[in-house]
Amino acid sequence: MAQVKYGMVVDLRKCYGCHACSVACKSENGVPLGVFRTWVKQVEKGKYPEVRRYFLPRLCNHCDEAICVKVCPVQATYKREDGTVLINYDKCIGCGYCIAACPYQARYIDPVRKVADKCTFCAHRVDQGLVPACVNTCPAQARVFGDLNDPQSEIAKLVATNAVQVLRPETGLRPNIFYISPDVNAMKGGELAWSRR
Amino acid sequence: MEPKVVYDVFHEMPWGIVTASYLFVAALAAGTYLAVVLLNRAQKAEYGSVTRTGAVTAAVLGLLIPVLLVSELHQPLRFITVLFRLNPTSPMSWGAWIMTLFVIAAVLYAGLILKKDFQSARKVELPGAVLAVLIPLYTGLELSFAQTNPLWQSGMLPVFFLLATALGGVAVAVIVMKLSAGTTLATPEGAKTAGKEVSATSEGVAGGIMFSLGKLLSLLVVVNFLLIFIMLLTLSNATAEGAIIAGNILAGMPLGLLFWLGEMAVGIILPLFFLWYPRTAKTISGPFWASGCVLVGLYVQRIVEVIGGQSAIF
Repeated sequence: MAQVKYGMVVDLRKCYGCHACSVACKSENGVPLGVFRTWVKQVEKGKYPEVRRYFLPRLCNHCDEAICVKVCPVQATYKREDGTVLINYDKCIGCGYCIAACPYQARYIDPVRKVADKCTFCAHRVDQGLVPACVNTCPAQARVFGDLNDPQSEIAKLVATNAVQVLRPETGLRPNIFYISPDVNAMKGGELAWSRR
Repeated sequence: MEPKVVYDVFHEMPWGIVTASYLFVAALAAGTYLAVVLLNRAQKAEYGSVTRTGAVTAAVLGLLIPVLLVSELHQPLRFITVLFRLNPTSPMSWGAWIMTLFVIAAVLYAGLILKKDFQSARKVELPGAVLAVLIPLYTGLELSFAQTNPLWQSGMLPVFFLLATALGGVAVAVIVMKLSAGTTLATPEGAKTAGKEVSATSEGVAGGIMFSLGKLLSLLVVVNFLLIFIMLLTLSNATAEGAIIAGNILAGMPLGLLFWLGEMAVGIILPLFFLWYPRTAKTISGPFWASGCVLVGLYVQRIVEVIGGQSAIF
């Protein structure tokens, strides 16, 4: 049997932007104020009464060819055999290179620990046979986590039977977060980001 | 109706003024070192006060690089681990070694020159010069690894940093010459009319070289301007993301102000004025003031590149 490779499917037909995933993640991982390991981007289209809001949950994409692993000057960021990209906090020097290189804006400097941080797929929970906190909490069951290499897993079936999309496929990083029915306006960026403290 | 982003999270940009300062100082240190080595070889006279001051300047600037680098780290006490936890795929990892070896070479070179051990200094010159060329290339490459940063990925940064090394080196050499030789430097006319006797003095030689450096400086400033123009033109036409970044640089605040006032007016127009306007071009102060403006312009250029590159999220 093929090696385990964890990934996530976010079914945007189900997501209604309640932010429960962001809250659960913060609570589970003790994420400090002002930074997020996962969040839900919201885009509004149209004019009343023809108006709709689109949601796009964001998190680390645990890429197969993770650029953060490639650029880390001290090998603090590494990829586990199950595909999860993690950070060794004792090695991280907080240079910010991984943050600058990540095309998903998934990383930040933890204001308390002063090291780079991001979503870990709740590796501590997954290692005990549980699903990540965001998946466990999502009331709409829009997030599905599992082994992409197991054809019998729910995630593999969803990827196989739906038109899925990844963010920024042109980077060639082979991300492992798949979206069902994303809106192009939610997927694009271009906003000003003047938030240096 | 345009879709509107009603909620998103922006994490702080990781690199700012300190990174820009580090890139500026690194290019300056490497450029000064190269200028001193080249001047020393071209002059074919024994190491004079200009070479001594230049070598010390390169060493001091070199020592500033690790200070700036470490101060940018969120875990500064772990900086030394960069040297032994090598990651061959990370430009920053090789860069740490290039930078460390360059600083050692620059300090050693300055020390040997001050001790007047010229033979040993010659042995350090070449390896130091190779490292000095590698510094702008690695720093440019380091930024270009940012996947969705159209400015940093444009492929122009290593070229810009190499050019900044040359510009910075020439500018520092001119300033050092003026400051170490004072006002006694000969003008080209003075050197010509005074004949061999005056031009053979260290002041005369330095004065002649200074005007040659002034000409080189004006050429490099023009090349820098053309490259900035080409980069912004390609950036704004290549991709939608590039156009946003170019728009931020040209018309955003405060980037636009920095670009037009610092990079263009002070870094390009003023130096060319000092170097081309007949009244200033014939005096020693022309290249001197032009060099000062070039250094300010280069610093602002690094700020615009580092912060401008991160001014939009894609």
